[in-house]
Amino acid sequence: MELSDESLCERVAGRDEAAFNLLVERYQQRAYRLAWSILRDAEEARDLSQEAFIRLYQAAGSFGGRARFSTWFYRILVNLCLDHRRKHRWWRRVVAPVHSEDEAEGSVVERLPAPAQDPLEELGRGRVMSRLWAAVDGLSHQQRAALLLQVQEGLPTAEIALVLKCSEATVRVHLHRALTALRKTLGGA
Amino acid sequence: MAMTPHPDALLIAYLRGELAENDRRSVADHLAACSECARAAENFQRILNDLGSSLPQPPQVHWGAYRAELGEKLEARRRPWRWQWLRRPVPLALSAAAAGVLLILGVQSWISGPLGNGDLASLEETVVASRLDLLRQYAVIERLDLWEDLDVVRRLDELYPGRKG
Repeated sequence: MELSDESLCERVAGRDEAAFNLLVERYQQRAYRLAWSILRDAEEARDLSQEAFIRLYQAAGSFGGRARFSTWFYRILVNLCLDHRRKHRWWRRVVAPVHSEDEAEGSVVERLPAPAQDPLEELGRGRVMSRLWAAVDGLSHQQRAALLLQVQEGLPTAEIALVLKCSEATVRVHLHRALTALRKTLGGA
Repeated sequence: MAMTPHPDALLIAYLRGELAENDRRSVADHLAACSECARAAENFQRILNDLGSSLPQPPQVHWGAYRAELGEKLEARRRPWRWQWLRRPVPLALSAAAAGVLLILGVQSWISGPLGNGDLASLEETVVASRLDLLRQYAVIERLDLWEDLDVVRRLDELYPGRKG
């Protein structure tokens, strides 16, 4: 029978290396993808997602099992990423006013899967998506994190609140403001 | 019937089916009566769908290398702090530079022999002798307690009448 994340975390608290490796394998892709979505930098996402696993290893004993393991782990990861963005905000403005990675590796549209429908229709849709994701990048850290946790990780509002260490009402406000800003970007009334 | 306030902050939760029955019914009633909110809810739903179906993919990662790197980082954290400190680039470079300077000094002293008290005295004599012409010009020198006023001797250039400053 497959062990739950919570059971594995308990074993990690007892310094079980195999349990830790299993948790890393289960969460490495999600952790890296979420970190990248927040930071938009592959190296930083790699580094900070690894740092989140190290913190998990060190603090596994403090996981009380009151929340789901995924919520607890996302909380570590998202806080690391948001702290990192806050600390490096001024530096990003000076060095990379435009997302350097987007320039180096193609725009958001170019990273989307190849179109399976009418290319012209897809091109138009691709442009809209590009504008939409550019607008997501321009949201405040909290709004962006709340939106990504909902859209990408599929977390309910209650869990997003636990991850971001705020109330559900605050998360709802973040999401409403984020979507209102995106709607404005797309020219919605 | 008076319209209820716009349920802005509840719209997303409503769209995701997260509201309790009372709130859900209240928002549904409002949307049926308020075209502005109904349009906003429709737009929000479309944006959420679009975002969900177009998630940008991060650059590929070799997961074996990722885990190996993570293992190394974790191992490094377990080492005593002094070794961690030494493995950082700046302390490593400083340690190497210090070791280099010590090596050069060691080699130099090995070539020229140890520098004793006698060498220091001869060094002082050489300095004083190089200023002998200046020393002769100052009566004040006679009154100097030489070892205590060596600083004056070193600054003789500044006392010389032909010089400025």
